[in-house]
Amino acid sequence: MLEGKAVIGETDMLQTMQQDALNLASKALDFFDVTEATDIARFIKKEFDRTHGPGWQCIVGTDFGSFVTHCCGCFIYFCIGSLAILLFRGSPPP
Amino acid sequence: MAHYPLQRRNLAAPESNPTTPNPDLIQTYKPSFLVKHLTNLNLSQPHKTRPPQKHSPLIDTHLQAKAIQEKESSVTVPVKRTHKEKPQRHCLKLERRELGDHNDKGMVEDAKVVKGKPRNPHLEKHDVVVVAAAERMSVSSLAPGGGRRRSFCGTQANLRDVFAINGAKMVSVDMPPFMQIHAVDCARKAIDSMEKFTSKTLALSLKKEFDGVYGPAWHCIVGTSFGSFVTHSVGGFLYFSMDQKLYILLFKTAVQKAA
Repeated sequence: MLEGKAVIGETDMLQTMQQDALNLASKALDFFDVTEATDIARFIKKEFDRTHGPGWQCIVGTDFGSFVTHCCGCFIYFCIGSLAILLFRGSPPP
Repeated sequence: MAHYPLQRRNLAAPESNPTTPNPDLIQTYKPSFLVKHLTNLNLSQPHKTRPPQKHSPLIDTHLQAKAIQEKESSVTVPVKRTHKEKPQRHCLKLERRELGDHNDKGMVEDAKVVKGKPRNPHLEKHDVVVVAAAERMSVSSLAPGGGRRRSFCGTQANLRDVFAINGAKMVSVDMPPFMQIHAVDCARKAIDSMEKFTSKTLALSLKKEFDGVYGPAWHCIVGTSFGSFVTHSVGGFLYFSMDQKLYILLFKTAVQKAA
């Protein structure tokens, strides 16, 4: 079940891709527990690599700071309940 | 101005990917699996704690860390969100700068990727125990045959000494020894120079340092409670802990020349 509503903090992504990310996160939380941050990250990244091309990176957790370089139109940071999720593409597709 | 053309290129790119998968890219990138638990959430559900004993010390350590650092308590959700949102703004700004750098250093980047030594078995391992074993083999194999900056390629004992001095412990690594030392030294200096520590600042300084010295594009995640799953370049991955409570993830992805 979804722990509260998803809140998008920062994004540089098409609306359709944003929705894909939110749906995937919701689905991941159905499969995994919120304590399995690594499994959630893997699930989201694998799916995005499959549907939107390779090179995606995913960070999931409750306490972290980051500084990254991402491609145009491939970045989203959102929160679902107490969990924060950072998803971006680090290298452009060939 | 420059932002829109790039965005359009990205729009077209995903459509062609499913039809023409690039095996070379797949070979270059190695997915890395990191194990990191959420301490607070584990408290509410103790029965789901993983049986391996190696995880227990980490959990205990985090409990202490959480108790000491009241400001980082998960109870204050709004504060956390504010903290987490700030780093992303830097990302947006940095993107434009990095895009410019891509054109200049694209060729150098490709060369580095090609020269990287393949260590597939190590990267494919997900189990913590196996990764630890592979890590040692990887480090020891680099020492004797280190071709780059031999003056920095000390033995495994030297590496341990450097880490011990800085209070660092390697969790998972795919990086030459001299770069590991550089990362730990840079992190230690950054932490000591901060009046008030923030994960964002440490991540920023580490990434900027590595982008400047080893070329783009590096990514850095710093925190006490997070899990990740990333794809990185060969020889460009480092995940270590400092002061028994802070975890730092530093990895590199290839950049391509913007045609």
